[in-house]
Amino acid sequence: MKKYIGFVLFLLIIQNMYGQADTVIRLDVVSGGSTNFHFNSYTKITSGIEYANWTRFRVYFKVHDGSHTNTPTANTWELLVHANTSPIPGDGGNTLGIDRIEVAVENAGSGTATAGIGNYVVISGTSQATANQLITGGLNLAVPAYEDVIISYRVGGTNSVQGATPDYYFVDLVFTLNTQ
Amino acid sequence: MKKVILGFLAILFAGQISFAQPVSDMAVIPMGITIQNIMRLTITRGGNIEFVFSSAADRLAGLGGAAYTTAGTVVSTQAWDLELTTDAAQFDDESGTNNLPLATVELATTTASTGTAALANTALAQGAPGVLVVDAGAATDAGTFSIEWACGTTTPIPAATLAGRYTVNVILSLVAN
Repeated sequence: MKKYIGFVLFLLIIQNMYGQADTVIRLDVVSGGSTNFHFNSYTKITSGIEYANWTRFRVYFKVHDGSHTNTPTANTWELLVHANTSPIPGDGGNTLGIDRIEVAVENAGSGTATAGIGNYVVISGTSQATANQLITGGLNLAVPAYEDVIISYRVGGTNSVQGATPDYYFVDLVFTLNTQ
Repeated sequence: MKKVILGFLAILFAGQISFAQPVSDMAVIPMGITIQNIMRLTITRGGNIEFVFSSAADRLAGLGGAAYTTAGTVVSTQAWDLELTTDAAQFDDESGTNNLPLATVELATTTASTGTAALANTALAQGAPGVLVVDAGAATDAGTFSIEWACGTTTPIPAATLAGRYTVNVILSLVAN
């Protein structure tokens, strides 16, 4: 009986090890890991500042079907973005609306840019639940294959920063790679 | 013993389930936004006004008109006023011994694209800044103004004034309203 239980435990442990090795979901920042927007001219304040093709993400995505046959599931991936706080706080105690920030997908890899390639999306999400979807339908990739996603940023484009109180404002944009 | 084994198996299965669940990954891009106030004043015309009294008629009637106009532009991201003062209490000649009262010169804000042209036919004075344009409430990239100058028209040049070149600097200041 003890041997039988031991064998079952051994099988379960092996199964767990397979389960970990077959699923890879990773979102790496290759370049453009931070941005700073300096509004130091009237034109910038009225027209906004754009950093095109600024952040390059590397997407690793393989979800196994659990059969241990190295067969990926039909899962696809999506890329979401949200701000970690809203409104955007400033060092001087002032705040700036999160809707001043926009992002655009310049390269969606195997996925489809939800708003279209190069079209800016005004950030509205402040949590995982309300995050803005940027890319949908990315393919399940064979490890170690990966693909790159390129993101542009704009501040003060659709919604101007004109009239905002001068200050240093700071916010984190959280990009999430999810299964669908 | 059975309970221990069952408990262990339960934990193991639970672990297996958690491994099998889809996972996700995140990346964080810190973003900083620095916003500065922009206030820029540019004189586009009439940056140096010279009144030359070369005849008795000039001394009697004074000099003025469109030829003696200063024009400028304003770029501002906030509500603004345009103020004026001088860097001396009177006009001084080149020797520094003779002078001419500031009041011999008068000015009028003839145009202001935004806000209110506050001064009309006002004698030049030092001290508390005169407000040329007031309550220009809106941010602008194309605010314009002009000032028309006259000398000896309302307040005549004193008869005892010696010939010479009398100067003073007029200081225009663009300030937040």
